[in-house]
Amino acid sequence: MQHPDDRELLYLFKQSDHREKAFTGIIKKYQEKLYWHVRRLVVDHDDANDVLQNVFIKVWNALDNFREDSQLYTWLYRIATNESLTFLEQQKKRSAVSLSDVESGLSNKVIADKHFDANKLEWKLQLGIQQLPEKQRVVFTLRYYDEMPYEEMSRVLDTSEGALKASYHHAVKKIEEFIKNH
Amino acid sequence: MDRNIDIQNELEEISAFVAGLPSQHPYQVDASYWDTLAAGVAAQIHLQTAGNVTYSAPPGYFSNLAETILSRVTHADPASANEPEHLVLPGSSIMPYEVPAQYFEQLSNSITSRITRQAQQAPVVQMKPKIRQMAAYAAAAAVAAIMVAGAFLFTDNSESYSSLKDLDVSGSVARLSEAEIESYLNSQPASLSPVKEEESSDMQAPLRNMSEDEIQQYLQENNDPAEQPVKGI
Repeated sequence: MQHPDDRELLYLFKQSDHREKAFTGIIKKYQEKLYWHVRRLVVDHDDANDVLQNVFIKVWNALDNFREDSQLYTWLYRIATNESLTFLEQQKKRSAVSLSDVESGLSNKVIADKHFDANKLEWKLQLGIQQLPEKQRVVFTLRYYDEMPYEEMSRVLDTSEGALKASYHHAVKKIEEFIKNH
Repeated sequence: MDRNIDIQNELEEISAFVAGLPSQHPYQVDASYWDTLAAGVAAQIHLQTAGNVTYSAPPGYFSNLAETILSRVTHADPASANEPEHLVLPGSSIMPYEVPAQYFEQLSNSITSRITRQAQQAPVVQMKPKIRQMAAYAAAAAVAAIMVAGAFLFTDNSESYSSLKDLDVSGSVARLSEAEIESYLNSQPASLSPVKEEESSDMQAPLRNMSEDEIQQYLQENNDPAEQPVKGI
């Protein structure tokens, strides 16, 4: 499906008559990419849906102030990442458990998925990803699944490219070790 | 789906094992989800916007409000002519309350006179300078006493004790001549002299009256096994 250009969508959004139509266009264009990014971080579909709805509500409220010198795509990923991490942080506080318990909670969510198959490598990889520290988890999924260039990732996560490369390197090594030992 | 060649090469450099893993994640979602998401978000936004305003006014209410009020004020109903004069209309700066006549003219005088009266009722008594001086001396003496007591209690006196410990008494006595020791003992009071012969002999008197068998029997009865003589001694 062919989606309108970002500039065109932003221009339409600023016209009060086309505001809602333009916003629906933005949702349609980015919903799948953002959903899978959020889903890989929070694992559960219902949680991903809640987070994604909050992301688009924030986008609606803040789009008037969006500076067009940065890409809409990068800006949306930034909001989606922050919203996902905030969601995980809130879950941690609500259950009053340590970070490692939240990670094991995410692993349990992976296992609880109705399509989970412990013998399949793609599921083992998901379990390996959930063992990673938060930052490495985000960097790994953005690079491995979204194939995001380090330059863009640097703008999304506000981190230097060197630090991102190091995080990705550590994440890959840890995942290799995890899968070989499980 | 093939992975981007740069990302694949980077992965193979880090770990050939991970580079060989599937590039697709295993999660799934209903295809209908994508059709309903935008509508769901729009509904949320409308709910949020609706939640901000609880009550609503008829269209054009606020733009006509000022004119409506002014027209009511200027074309007042003759029936309301009998209302009290001090009834205040909205926006008027006239206060509806009244104060007694000459209240503000007399206010400053009444406050001054109240202050003067209060000052006369409760005179401040100054302490005499001599008594104040003595009290200061007493306080200084008390502070000095506390400091001296504190210094005495908390100063380390272990130095004088250690100097006593270092004294070599037996060495000093050994260096004395017999004549010096004798003259020192003679000069000391009688209470320090050794036990007299008569007193010590009194202790042996009951033993003299006992037979050897009785003594042996006493020793056997009061024998403590722990005090058995060591063999060979």
